[in-house]
Amino acid sequence: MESKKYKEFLEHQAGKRPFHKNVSTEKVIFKFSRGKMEESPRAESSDILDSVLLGKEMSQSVTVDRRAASLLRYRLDLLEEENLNMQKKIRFMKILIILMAAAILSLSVYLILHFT
Amino acid sequence: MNLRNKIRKWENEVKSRFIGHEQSIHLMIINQLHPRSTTLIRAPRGLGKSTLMLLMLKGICGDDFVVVSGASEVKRGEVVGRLHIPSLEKEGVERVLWAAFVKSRGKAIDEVNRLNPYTTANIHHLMQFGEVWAYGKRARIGDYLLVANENPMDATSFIHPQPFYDRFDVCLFLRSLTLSEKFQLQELLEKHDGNIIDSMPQVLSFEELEEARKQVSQIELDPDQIGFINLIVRDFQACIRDKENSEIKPPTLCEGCHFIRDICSKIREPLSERATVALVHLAKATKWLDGKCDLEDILRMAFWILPHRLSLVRTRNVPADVRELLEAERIKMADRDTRRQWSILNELMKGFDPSLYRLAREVAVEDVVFAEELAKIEKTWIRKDIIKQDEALFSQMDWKISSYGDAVF
Repeated sequence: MESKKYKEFLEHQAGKRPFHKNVSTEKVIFKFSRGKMEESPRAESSDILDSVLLGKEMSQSVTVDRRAASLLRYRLDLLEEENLNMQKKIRFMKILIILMAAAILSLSVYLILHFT
Repeated sequence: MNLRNKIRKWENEVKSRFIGHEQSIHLMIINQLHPRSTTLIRAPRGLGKSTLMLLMLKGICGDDFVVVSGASEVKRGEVVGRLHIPSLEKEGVERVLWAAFVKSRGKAIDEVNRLNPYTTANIHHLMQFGEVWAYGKRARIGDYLLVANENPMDATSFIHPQPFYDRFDVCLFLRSLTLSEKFQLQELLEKHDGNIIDSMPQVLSFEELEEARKQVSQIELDPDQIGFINLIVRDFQACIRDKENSEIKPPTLCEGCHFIRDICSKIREPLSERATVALVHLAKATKWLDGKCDLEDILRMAFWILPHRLSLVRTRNVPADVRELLEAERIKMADRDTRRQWSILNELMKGFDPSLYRLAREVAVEDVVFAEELAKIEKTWIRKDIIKQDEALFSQMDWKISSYGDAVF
């Protein structure tokens, strides 16, 4: 049985960050609640995270608050790091493939010479 | 003067005699507002650990507190109790004379790192069970406040067990004084004829502190505050590979793990549930004294409950490492908000929805804590034949769910 306070926490969070479902074909799109949409006319600025992560259309001006900027920078850093790691792995795999190809080639030459 | 004002006066009196460390002193005061409070001060030699400890105790207990010093030879009789020899000789009865440290409500331990393991074990038992044993006799300990200090860099340190440190609610770090602060200290010493501690008045009685503690215990936290506290602690515990029970610890355990870049991979030994209790106490006390306790306050207070409880994979500078982890935690929280993952979970708890479930699966591969909760819901859906075992995220990601009900993974 779930705790009452846990349910309250989830409900409270859901109340603070509402969404309504718009099912078109198989895809689910999350939007702000209709009330909130009406509160924020198109002329006002929109949050960059909503467009990047939720696919929301951008307004005329897009704001990036400190928290969002640090989140994006953090993610970029992670991707950079992953990129470097992948490059290292690729280089290592290339060397490994060359070595294995050389080993297979020399083994085939040896076997051909030995058995003919 | 009402209780809150008295507590604030206590804080101001300490602050006026201890230069710098305003936030640490405020936190230390906040931490005294629950029963059997324990505070650990960590700093290198000569930075005022003992001074701060004595100032805090004098503000409540006047001169009626007991200091046990790890630097001197501490015998069991001085910390717990000794046998009353005349009773044994004349009447053949074993009577125990309980030590002043046991009876006093203001307890101080100077240089904890130098305490011998036997004394440490006795104090550990006192903090754990609120009682002490000597010669087959038991003494119950009432409410108290305990302040301890240590210099972990000291070469003559004993290595105390992690569970002992876990019994301390908070751990404060002191730093050396800046140039301007040194001038302030010199002026302060001149003002008090070189004796800052003796000038500290008793601001409130222990009975008044007990009344304040009672009022704080009646404070209720709102669901967001409790949720936030539980989330922070769970983020510092959760591991998809069950590091709590694993003989292999991170970083070896994390090799090839999907969550290798998460906070969990930086923590060797996770937090205990005492961290939650300590943080709840601090949040309640902050709400009582300051009138508010927002999520930033909770994240800031977490800095003081983590250092002595965590064992990190790579330790360079403990406060800086903890600050870095909390910064990552702040980003994680913002990420959760953006994904609206608790709203999704809230909907899924009401019933199965294929499109929401698909979205929840995407979220779960970004967040271990969310994944655990989703796994629980998946289990109920499997039982009800809504989804099949091999369709569950945990089966597909090959995250092992224990067949023994109590363990999630």
